[in-house]
Amino acid sequence: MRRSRSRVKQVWQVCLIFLLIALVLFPSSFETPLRLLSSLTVEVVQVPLNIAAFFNQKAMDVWSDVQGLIDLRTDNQKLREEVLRLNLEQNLLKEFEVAVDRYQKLFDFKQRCPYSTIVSEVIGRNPTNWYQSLVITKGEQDGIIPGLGVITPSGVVGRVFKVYRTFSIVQLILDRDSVVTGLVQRTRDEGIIQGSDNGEVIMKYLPPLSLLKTGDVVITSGLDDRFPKGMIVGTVKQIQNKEAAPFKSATLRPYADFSKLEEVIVLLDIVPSNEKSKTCFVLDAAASETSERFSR
Amino acid sequence: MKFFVYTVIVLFVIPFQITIIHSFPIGGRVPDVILVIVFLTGLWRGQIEATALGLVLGFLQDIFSGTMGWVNLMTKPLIGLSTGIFYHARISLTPWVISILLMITSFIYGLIVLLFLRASPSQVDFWSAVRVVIFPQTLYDVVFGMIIVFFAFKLFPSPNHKVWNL
Repeated sequence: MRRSRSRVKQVWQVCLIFLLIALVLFPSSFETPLRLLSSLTVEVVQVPLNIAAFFNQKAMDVWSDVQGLIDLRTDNQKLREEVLRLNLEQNLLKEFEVAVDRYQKLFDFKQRCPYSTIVSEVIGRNPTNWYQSLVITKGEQDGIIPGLGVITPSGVVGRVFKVYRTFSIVQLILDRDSVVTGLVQRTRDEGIIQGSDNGEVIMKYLPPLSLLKTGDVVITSGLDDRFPKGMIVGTVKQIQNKEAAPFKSATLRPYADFSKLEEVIVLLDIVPSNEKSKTCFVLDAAASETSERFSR
Repeated sequence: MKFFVYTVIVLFVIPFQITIIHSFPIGGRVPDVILVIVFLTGLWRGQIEATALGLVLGFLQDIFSGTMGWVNLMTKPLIGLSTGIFYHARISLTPWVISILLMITSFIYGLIVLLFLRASPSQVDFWSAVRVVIFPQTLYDVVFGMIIVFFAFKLFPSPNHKVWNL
């Protein structure tokens, strides 16, 4: 049995050798069968080849994805940091822009205003609900004394109430204990401007025959020693005209926005120090618009 | 350690009261953080510490107030003294009890300040002040106090073990 197998093997070897010799000597004769065989072989081989290629492609894709994910995470982190940095930068620039705008207004105001003034930052507000006040960063060492008038380019804010070495407390005109003498610009009626418990500013003791109307501008009359004449306080919002009352009173809409005060100007002296215009305030477009709206 | 903690409280509460808290007004009113702190110190640490803290914080509050009087210097230690009673009292200080006590304390404090103002030349209208200042502040104080109670006492349990289990 083993001998017969060996003989078959030898026959196959001889055949293969003859085949090889024939291939070498007569290659053209084998071309057609070889082509047929190769096409058949390709048909068979391409199935596993395609499968292998498919898995290879998938593996490459997965690897590429993994690589991409690793890169993506790094890129994402970098981009997040960049966005954060740019946001911070943008916020700073916006804040800077707003601050420049505010300082420009203050500077323009100081240029226009003939009185000796000092600009101070607002660092806090009243610690109780019973009073309306601000804490400012200028004190005794900056020449502040109690009673000085405090304004903004928009209008009157209040007066210095308490003074310490490095900071002061300003009583707002919204405070019920605040008193400023006022004048209705159009009708020239005088009155007393006071705050109230609910944070409104009221002009009291107006003449009963006063012809004031909503939208009229109210200014300081200059009769007290805190504010020179002509400082803008606000516009008339509502008139209380009780028949039996000996005086008229009016609720005012102050020009100064008390909820957004960041810097204020303290009037160190109410006597004009130079020949500049005596009107510090310019009714801007918005204020004029408000005034017109209320006068309708 | 205790002195250090109280120094930190004093140094942070006043700036908080005059700056940050004004970013969260409701109807233009803000809670009286100092009142709430003194009240809770009374419940948490007893009369002596609360009274001393009330004295210091009340004094600082008056320095920054738009008033010449020293009403907070007088009332804030009283709050510490009166709420400190509950430190030893045999009642269970649940959140409800604390909020009711805080409401009463804040309301009485408001009335005392109002009476003080009425006695001074200040032109304050009684009912208007009750409606516009005292009521809103009382409610806001309670809300703020309960927020503090929730966070602070979760972190630092009272040495007096009968005090609240939130």
